Amino acid sequence: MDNNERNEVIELEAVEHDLRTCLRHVPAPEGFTDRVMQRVSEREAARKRKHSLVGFAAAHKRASWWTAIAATLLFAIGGDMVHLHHVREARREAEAQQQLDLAMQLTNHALEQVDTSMERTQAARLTQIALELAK
Amino acid sequence: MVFSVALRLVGDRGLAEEVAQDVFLELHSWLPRLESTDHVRHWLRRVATHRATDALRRRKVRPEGSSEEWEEKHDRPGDSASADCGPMGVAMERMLLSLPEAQRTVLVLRYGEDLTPEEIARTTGDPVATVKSHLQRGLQLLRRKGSVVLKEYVRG
Repeated sequence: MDNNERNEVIELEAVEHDLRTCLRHVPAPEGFTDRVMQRVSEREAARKRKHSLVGFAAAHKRASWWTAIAATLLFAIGGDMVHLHHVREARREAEAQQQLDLAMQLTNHALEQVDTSMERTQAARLTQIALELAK
Repeated sequence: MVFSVALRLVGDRGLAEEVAQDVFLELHSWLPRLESTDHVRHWLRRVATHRATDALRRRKVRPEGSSEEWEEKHDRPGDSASADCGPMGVAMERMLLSLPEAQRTVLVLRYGEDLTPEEIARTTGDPVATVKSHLQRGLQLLRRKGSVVLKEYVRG
């Protein structure tokens, strides 16, 4: 080790020594602990407020869910009632159609009888006219 | 310890207190997860180092670029963290703050907190070899700066 290297080592040791001496702990400023504790309290209070807001939001969410369920039930019941109404209407229409069909059948039958009666009347009259001509 | 580390790294009392308060607020949340006094001490050093570095980067405070402020501080020795170390202490503080961030961090942890290179590596998250390299380069740089300051002191 030459003189330069030796000097360098000595200087580095001196730097290390100065660093150890001068980099001692610096105490925190006066009132530091109070300020930290105040910030902790503020944050705790903010957290509690947030929790209560979250609770309200959760309750609101639950209420929303119940509203949605109730609405679904109402729609389902309403739907059933509409369906029932449609079924009744259809049944009523079918009954009316049957009654109409029956009425038509009766009318046709009556008309056929009238026709037959008229044909008989006409035949009798023709026979009478033919007999009179034959005299 | 927390305020001291923060102050050595950021070089500004106001910013150092802000960092230290944030570290203790974070500790308040983390405390249930910390298992022993040593764990708490290690956690505090690690978080203080990281938060101080973050604060420096965020504020873009480069102590080496604010020489006028440091001149003012040297006129009022009571404000300096190393004021009662004498003129050499104040000069040392000034030179330390002029070092690159990584070198300053390892020197503060090595000579201010008396940590081994392995402990510093665990604190900063760097490899041990990187820590040793920063230590050597930091000391060399301080030695060179010191000789310049000493010459100026002798001349002045």
